[in-house]
Amino acid sequence: MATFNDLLKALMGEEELVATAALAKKVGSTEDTVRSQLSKLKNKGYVDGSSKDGWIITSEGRDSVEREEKIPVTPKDVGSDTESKLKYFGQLATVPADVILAALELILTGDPEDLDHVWNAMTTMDVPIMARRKWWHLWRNYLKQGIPPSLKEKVVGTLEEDGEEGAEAVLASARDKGRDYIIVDDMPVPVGAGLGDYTMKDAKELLQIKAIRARVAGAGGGGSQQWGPKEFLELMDKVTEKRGDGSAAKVYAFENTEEGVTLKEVTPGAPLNMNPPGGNKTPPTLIIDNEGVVQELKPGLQMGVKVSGNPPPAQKITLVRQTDKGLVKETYEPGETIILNTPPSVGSGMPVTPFPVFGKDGKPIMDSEGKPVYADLEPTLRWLGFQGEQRRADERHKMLMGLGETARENIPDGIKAVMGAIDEARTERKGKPATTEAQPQPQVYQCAACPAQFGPPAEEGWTHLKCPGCGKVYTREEIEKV
Amino acid sequence: MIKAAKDLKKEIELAGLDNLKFAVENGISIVGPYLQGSSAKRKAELKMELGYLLSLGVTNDMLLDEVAKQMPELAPIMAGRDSYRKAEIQKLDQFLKEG
Repeated sequence: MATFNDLLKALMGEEELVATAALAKKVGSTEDTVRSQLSKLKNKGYVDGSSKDGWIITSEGRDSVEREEKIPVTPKDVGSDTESKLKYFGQLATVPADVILAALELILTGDPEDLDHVWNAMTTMDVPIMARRKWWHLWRNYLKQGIPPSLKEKVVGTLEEDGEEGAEAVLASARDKGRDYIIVDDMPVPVGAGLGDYTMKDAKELLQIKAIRARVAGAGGGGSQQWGPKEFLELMDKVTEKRGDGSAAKVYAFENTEEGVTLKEVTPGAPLNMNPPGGNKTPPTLIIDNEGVVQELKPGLQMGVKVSGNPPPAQKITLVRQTDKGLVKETYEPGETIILNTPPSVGSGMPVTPFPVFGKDGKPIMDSEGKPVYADLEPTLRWLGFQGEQRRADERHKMLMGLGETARENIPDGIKAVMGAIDEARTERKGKPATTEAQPQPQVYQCAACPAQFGPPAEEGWTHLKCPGCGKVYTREEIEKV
Repeated sequence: MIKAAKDLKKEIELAGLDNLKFAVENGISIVGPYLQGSSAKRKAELKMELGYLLSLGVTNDMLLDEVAKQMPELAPIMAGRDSYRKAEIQKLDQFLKEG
């Protein structure tokens, strides 16, 4: 199949419009393909014309040819139809043009979306194995399908095996393990064990890279970059290169051996014996017998617990107290009550509250033997306490008296007078029984000239009464008239 | 009248219940010494209050009965002592008549 550059070169020598069929014959391609390519070149501005009128190269196209620049084929150039897509993917997979056409003719006889049919068609047309796989995977990715189980062993292989000419089928290697996902609409989709393109981790990384590239492209103002089949193919190559021969990364572990700690390669999937540091040897259990001999407690060795005899008897308690008689040693039986705080006897020579005696110079006074002299402050403290109590009692008494005085001051004068009269009567009568209504009460009269009150004498024959206050004399008639 | 009786009762109680009982039982006047021993200011107040009560139709007899009601401790002692009661009322009347 001719490229864009081939078509432009073919048009370079023409000065008149060239028909589509003539151009197709010239480049050795089909008319439909050439027509499609010319339309795209027209969109790019390299050619002008139409299928009806013919085609001619533009000045920009001539400049491109003279500069020998390669016109890139972008995804936009690829038609949305199946044939165009398949052709485009085939070109990306470096499949020879004629082989693409041949395979395409066979693919289009069946269902292009049947991956088994597509693979068989490619195989039948002898598409080289490497290019075949690339082409097939590009198409599968476009269809967003997983690897059919029937083709799993065929479509996946190592580079070494692929390098051998004639190598057809390859077995799945360790790298197939975990490749359970394909990317569909920026999402990892599980398609079966080993039937996908990526592991979950790879899929996530790819999506992250895609998102970063999109943001970078967007920041550059160029819009999000399409994750086209070319990028996919490049990434597959990188992934393949990264995996090298396809073997999984080696895993090593430290192992305790008789020779010591060694580094051992771990076979993927094989169980790993994790020996603890120092081997399986555990520290021995030791026991000490009654004789003090240390023995190792070996497995199977019986060990008994000796029950001790009667506990030793409780010892007596010895208490030394300082009394007025000096230091006294006392012995108490276990459980016996011990009284520690015993008051000292009165008149003892030993001071209860010893306090060093200081002289006028402020230095402690020493006796003839040079020992400091202590004085008993107990009597002094008692005296001071007594004085304090007396003082408080006096103050309390004064306070009560003051309260009484205050209360008296607040009593109305009239009540005071009443109380005074009552007190006088009490004093006068002194134990005389209280008069009752049965006994006739003496009449009391008040002087008109003064507030004094007086009553008639006990004898009946009285004729005059004298006021004890002002001395005014009243006759009996005057008094009885009241 | 009740308020006046209560005020009198409060003041009389200051003398002490025992003293009051002694005075009543022995015929010793309470009103007389009270009125005589009160200050001039208190006398004026008493005259004004008693005169006001009299203008309302409250006699001294009624006032004394009310005071007795306020002091139930003295009620049994006062009972039957009409002469003592009359003497106290006379003293109140005389107090009001004074200028």
